[in-house]
Amino acid sequence: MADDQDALSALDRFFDELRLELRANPDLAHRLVKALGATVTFDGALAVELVNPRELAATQGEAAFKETFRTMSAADIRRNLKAHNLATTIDMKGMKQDALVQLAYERALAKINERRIDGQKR
Amino acid sequence: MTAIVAAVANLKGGVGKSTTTVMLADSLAYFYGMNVLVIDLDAQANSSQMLLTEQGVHAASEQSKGAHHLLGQFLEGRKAAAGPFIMPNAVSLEELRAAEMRSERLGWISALPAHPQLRMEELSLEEEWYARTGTPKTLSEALARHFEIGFADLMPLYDVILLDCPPHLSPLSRAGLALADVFIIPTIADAVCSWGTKQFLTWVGDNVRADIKTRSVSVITRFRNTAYARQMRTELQTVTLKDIHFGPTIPESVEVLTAMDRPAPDSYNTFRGKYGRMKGDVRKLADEIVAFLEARFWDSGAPKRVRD
Repeated sequence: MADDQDALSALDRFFDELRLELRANPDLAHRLVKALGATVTFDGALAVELVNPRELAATQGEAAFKETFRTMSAADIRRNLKAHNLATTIDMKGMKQDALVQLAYERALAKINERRIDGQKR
Repeated sequence: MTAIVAAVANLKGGVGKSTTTVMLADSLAYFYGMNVLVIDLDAQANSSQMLLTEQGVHAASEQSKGAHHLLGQFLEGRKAAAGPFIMPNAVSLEELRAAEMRSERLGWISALPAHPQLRMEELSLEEEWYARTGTPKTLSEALARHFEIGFADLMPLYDVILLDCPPHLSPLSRAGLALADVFIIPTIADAVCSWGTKQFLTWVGDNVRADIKTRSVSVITRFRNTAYARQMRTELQTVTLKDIHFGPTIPESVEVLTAMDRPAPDSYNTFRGKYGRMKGDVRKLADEIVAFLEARFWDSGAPKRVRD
């Protein structure tokens, strides 16, 4: 009995540590949840760091893509698109949030279609 | 003025021929204000994709542009003329576009792009030619004559024509090599690439251009600064290819990979934005190639730098 209680306490401590780590490391959380096969959605600042626009456009469709990107500020969308090499500063000059979301979707989809080996387009 | 034809070539694949072609096109146009034509003879179409994107390559084909049409003329026995198949705008640098918009063109890049269809055209051509008891040698000679006629009208329009050659000695590649004034030979500092580069120089020297060694610049690409790579580079420069002029060493860099992935056919970037910390390396590539060409071709002096 005493051993069982010790085992449960040990597991509690283990999961507490894991929870703390996952809270501090959203990238690991993202990868673990994806490995479970669950759909992951992001909003705000987290999305800027973690969302891969090409993957999102290929797997989630236009509505979900735009919903995710609309949670980001214009500056964050710029940062995301530059980080994923989908647009340059010149390309995004003077664009407001709606135009940036549209650009993000079009560029991500075009790049995915370029790279698909089956020739299928969404 | 007549264009200098530079073949970017090596027997070995994966040594950075297309990347070197695009970096040179960008840097000669940007730093020296040159009018550059890139001719992609490789059916993989890598330099075409780097310049135009894959979408742009397909759009070009839909507009009846591309090197495969030049082969089509040959197959149909028509007189060669490459001009109609050229994409006049293969520029991705904002500074070049901005100058053009002000009607102050200062450096430009056009392209005769490749398309995967090029491989099918070449195969058809080979089957037909060899069925008539032709040989790879006679086919490559006939193609070289076809290209010479096809490019004749273009020679006064460009400062430099860069031929991105496929990584083997197909008739198409041999025809391109036969037209070249100079050979830019990218290689990697490892043993396998040293063998490939040595074989390439020997074969081209024996079969295409006896004086290839004095007309060649080797560029070491994707250089990782390890003890092994440093040893191999020294060996290349002092032993294996000791008769060859060496250009700069281009480090392996994620920034180069990113620079070669144009976001979209209508995307533009500044030179600094495109190449980031590699800007100095790309400038050095242009500087050393210009110095090499000046010593051999430009009696009245090399073009001057137009941008820093």
